[in-house]
Amino acid sequence: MNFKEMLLQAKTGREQAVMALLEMYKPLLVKYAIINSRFDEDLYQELCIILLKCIAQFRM
Amino acid sequence: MWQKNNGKSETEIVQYRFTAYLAIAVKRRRNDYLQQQDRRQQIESLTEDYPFLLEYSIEQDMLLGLPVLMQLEDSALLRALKELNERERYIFLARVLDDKDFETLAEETGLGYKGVSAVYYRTVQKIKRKTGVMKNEF
Repeated sequence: MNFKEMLLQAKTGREQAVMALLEMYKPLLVKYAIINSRFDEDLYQELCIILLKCIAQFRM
Repeated sequence: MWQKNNGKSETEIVQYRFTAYLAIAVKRRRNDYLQQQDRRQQIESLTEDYPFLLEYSIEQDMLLGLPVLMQLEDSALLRALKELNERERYIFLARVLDDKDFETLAEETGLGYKGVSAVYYRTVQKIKRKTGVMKNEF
């Protein structure tokens, strides 16, 4: 399954595809969830929500 | 799935675009979060006992490194100034407090006359907006 198909499936709400994307972008989210060299759990959760929003709103 | 992205095929381009889109959204959310946290901390510190408050406000002014700001009592304005970036703060304060004109500032900062005036007026707008927002919040 390539990225485009995965994104399209995630857009339709298929949980498996969403989870795969979340797994794929985890390093990016973790990187931005670090404040003063400490991992901020709350911010990480917020960023996960942002990822879900982005999947829904992204236009191909 | 984990191959290197060469940005050639259509799906790779889509992936690039999505990653960029996501990165911008994530950065914005992070900035908002940091600001919220900052604000929360300031409100919390206001409810602490007095000696701590005194210490804290002095520390804050030291951070800005500008003695004029020691006299500032309007915390909304102080917060707005703190949120500006280095260049905006310098141009704004130099213009307002030191009465420097745009030409000297342009020479100092290496911007053009128009650039400086644009930065200045944008900063004024930002401060107005931020202090306005603060008033509505409390």
